[in-house]
Formats: sequence, C-alpha cells, structure tokens
Amino acid sequence: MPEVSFTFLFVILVNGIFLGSLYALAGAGLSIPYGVSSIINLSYGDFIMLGAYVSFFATVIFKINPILSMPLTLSALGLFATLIYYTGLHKVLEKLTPEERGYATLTLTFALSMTLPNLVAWLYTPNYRSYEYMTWSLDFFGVKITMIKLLTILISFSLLGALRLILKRTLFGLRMRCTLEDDVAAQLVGVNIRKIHFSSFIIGSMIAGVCGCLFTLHFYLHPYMGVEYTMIAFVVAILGGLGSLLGAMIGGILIGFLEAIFTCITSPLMRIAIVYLALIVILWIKPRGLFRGV
Amino acid sequence: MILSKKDVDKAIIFILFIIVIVPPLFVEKYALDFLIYILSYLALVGAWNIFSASTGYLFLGTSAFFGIGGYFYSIIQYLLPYGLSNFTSGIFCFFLALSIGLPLLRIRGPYFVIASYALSLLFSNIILYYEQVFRGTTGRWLYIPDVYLLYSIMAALTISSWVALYLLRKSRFGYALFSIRGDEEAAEAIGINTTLYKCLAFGIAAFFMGCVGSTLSSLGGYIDTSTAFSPTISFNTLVMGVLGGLSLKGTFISAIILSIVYELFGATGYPYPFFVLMGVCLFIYLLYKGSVEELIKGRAP
Repeated sequence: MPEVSFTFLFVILVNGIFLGSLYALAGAGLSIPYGVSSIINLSYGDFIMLGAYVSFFATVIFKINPILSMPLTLSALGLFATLIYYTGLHKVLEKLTPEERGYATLTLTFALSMTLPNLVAWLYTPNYRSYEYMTWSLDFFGVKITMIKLLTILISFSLLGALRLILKRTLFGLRMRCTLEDDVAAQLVGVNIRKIHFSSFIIGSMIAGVCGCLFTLHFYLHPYMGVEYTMIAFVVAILGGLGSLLGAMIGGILIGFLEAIFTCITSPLMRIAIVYLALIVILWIKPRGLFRGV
Repeated sequence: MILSKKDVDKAIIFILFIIVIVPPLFVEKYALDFLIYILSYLALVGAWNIFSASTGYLFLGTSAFFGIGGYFYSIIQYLLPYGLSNFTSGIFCFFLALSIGLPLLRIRGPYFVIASYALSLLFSNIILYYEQVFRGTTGRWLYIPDVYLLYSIMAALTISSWVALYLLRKSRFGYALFSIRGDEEAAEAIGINTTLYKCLAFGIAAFFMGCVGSTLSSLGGYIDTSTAFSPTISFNTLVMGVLGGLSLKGTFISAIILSIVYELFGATGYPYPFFVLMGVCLFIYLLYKGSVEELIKGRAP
C-alpha cells in the first residue's frame, strides 16, 4: 500500500470523479429504458461499441474532431435503435405485461449481443484500435490531469443534468414518469405509451452512443469490448435501482470511486472483484437497489 | 401391436444409451473428444435445468461453478484417484453453492441474472489475483487421464444429471420448486420452506457443474481463469436451456444441436459469419416461436 499523501488522495479524487461520471452516464442509458418500459438491454455494451466505432471512423478516416463527431454518433445510434425497435422490440412491448417484457427483451437482446460484435469483427477485423486527442495536461497542485479527462467530466455531467431537467421539467418527462409509475393509468389519462416506449429506448441508445464516443477518447476499442461495458452499466444501474436516474448517478460515482481506490491500493485485478462483491453485497441487503422512481 | 408414445420415448432413450456406451470400443480419439464436448454440454444443461427451469431463476453463472470445480480439482488431483477427485470437486461446489445461495437467492428477476453473472466474474478475478500475487503464474498444469476413462466418467455424469432432472420432476421436491416458479409468496404461504428448496436445487446444479468443470478441464491438461471462467459457457448453457422451452425433450434436442453446431463452426479460426448467422436465427426464432413466453408464463412442462 502506497504512502497516503495529499497528491495520492487528489489522484484518487480526480480518477474517481472521472470514472464515476462515465459510468453514471452509461448506467443512466440502461436504467431509463428499463424503468419506463421494462427493456432489459443485454446488448447495451454493444451499442456503446457501435458508438465507439462510429466516432473512431469519423475521427480517423473523415478527420472530424471527436467532440464534434458526437452529434453524428448520436444520430447514427438513434437510427440504428429505431431499426432494431421496429424489427422486433415493439411487438414484445405491445403484447406482454411489464413483468414478462423483462425476460423477453433479455433473450432478444442477448441474440443481438451475439450478432453485433461478430458482425463488426467480420466486416472490420477484430483488432484493437485507438487514437489520440487532446493529450496535453493541466497542472493542479503538482498533479497532471489531461485536458480530455476534465472535458469528459464536464460533458457527461452536463448531459446527466440535461436529462434530469427533461425528466423533471417538461411535459414529455412528465409523461415518461407517468408511464414508469403505471402503464395502464398513463394510457387512461391520454399518454401515448407506444411513443413513450419508443423514445425511452431511443434515448437509452443515444446515451450509449455518447458513452462510446467518450470511451474511445480514453480507452482502446475492439468488437468484443461490449460485454465489459454492459456489465459495468448493469452494476451501476442495479446498484442505484433500475429506472432511477439519481440512483444511476450515485451508483456510478460509487463504482468509480471504488475502482479508483482499489486500483491504487491493491491491484487493477482486485478492483473488478471488489466492484462485483459490492454489487452482490448491496443486492443482498437491498434486493431492489438503492433508489426507486425516476 | 401399436406403439404408444411412451414406448417410442423408451426406445429412443435406449438407442441414445447405446450410442453413448458403444463408441469407446471403436471410435478414434478425436471423435471421442467431440463426443465428450457434446456430453459435457448436455450435463451442464441438465444441471442448469434442475435449478433454473424449475424455480424460474435464470442462472447466468454456470462458468462460476465450472471454473471452481476445475481449480479445486487442480489442487486435489494428486491426493485422490482420478474419478474420486472429480466427485470431490463437485461436492465442494455443492457446499459452496449452499453457502452462497443464502444471500444470492434473495435476489430475484433480472437482478438475479446479473448478480449470477457477477458471481462468475468475482470468482475468476479473485482466483486470478491470488495466482498472480502469491504464486506468480496464471495457469496450472493438470494430470491428463486416459481419454477412455474420461469419456466414461463424462457419460456417467451426463446420464446421472439427466436422471436426477427426471426424478426431480416427478418428486415432491420438484413440485415444491415449480410452486416457487409460479408464485414465491404463495408457495411460502402454503408452508413450503422456499429458501431451503431453492438452496438445495442450486447446490445440486452446482454439484454437476463442478464435476463437469473438473472433468473437462483435465481433458486439456491445463487450466487458467480465462478458459475455466469463460462467459461463453454460461451464455451457451442459458441459450440451450431457454431455446428448449422447459420440456426435457426440447432441452435435450436443443442442447445436442447447439453443441454440435458450436463445436463444428464456432471453434474454427474465422467464426464471425457463423456467429452472426446464429445470432440472427436466434433473434427471429425468439420473436416468432416465443419459447420465452412459455418460460415466463410458468406453464408446467
């Protein structure tokens, strides 16, 4: 265990917030579709992978600035999610009750998570890729922090804030919250829940696209990276309680700090074990996660 | 004489039994390896069915007990004779599952699916950490037994897991588990000790998974965390179980077909087109056949 000093704590703090913000965003994208329309998206990580590849192509081949490529990634993922939604998911959502939808979408998206990475590997080799962007750093009290880390924290927190505002302040958000509380009652008061189901899935997928874009700025990408991020997003969303945006934020920060702390004091191997141990322990104490509601 | 449906089933079971017993007498070693893989998946799916299909808890952590079985075998392989050490690793998995089951089985629905997947990642990372920090290596050598001996042990395991599954469906214990799938609160209200039954079924499933893990690992003569705790094992088992609906026959057929397909195409150097096709077929099948709905609605098989 290294010596505890101010620098050490500061590094943990920055890394914790950085990882936490990314994980919170990823968790929110999984949590909202689950809460609103009980979609368990097991291929969520593969959506992130697709977003990462779109942003990679935009940056490396078409020479677009990665931050500016974000709207492109967003719309690409939105289109893709629309395609997926209208090939099969809409049937499941209209026919089944909320409890049944969980398993049905779980198996359907499992099939998807088998297809997507292999399709990408088939079309574009399974090699590892990465690129560099804004690697210059700022100096804070003797700790060097890359600019892109700060930018990532800024982008993900502002997106989460915007999402919260949409859910809390707009009529659309109100409709979403109604559907979350009670499907049938929402229909009775005139909410078009088909539209709400569709838009919750699209919002989730778009967030996955942004996450993919932000992940490529820091980590390498390959077709099979999806599983890892699906699991992280699930851990975050489940810790906070599926369907809760605030829960996803708190879960994300918690997991981010756990990872940052245990990477520093033990080894990167132990950090994964600690994260899953935390998941099992918290679910043991609270079998439905920490928070309920949006 | 008109054969009833039961007689046909009996005849098919007899023929399958012969197919399992006869090959070691004249088949080549590679074909025997191939059969061992198919049998191991059959045994895993049987074990998965004992727990998941009966209680409705979708278990996505088959590789957790598969890997633990393999690692426990690597520790005790020279202390006990071959078949007995596999059995002992199964027993170890049984008790491990009993102790883990108490906290883990409180979690329900989609939460359980992810928590059980987390279980295999947890075991794999703890073992990897221990191996790298305290032993300085990441894998272990295993004693490779005669392939015929291995085959007979695997065949015995497969048959016993399916016999256990069959007996379970006919017994009081099985009915208790089905009632848990139907409605857990109601089952508790009519006086079924749900925790005990769930944990026992979980333990029995883990026992077979551990045995299969220890036996299959010794076929390669080497074990490390990335192969022993491979998520593919968990996912394949789940897919085979879910695709077969819940009936014994359906599960049996889907397990045989899928394991043959995986072994023929999935193990090649360029499996991507195959997996894409497989995923698309699975998607279409699930959408239109709806075997998932049977699972959800809790129709007794």
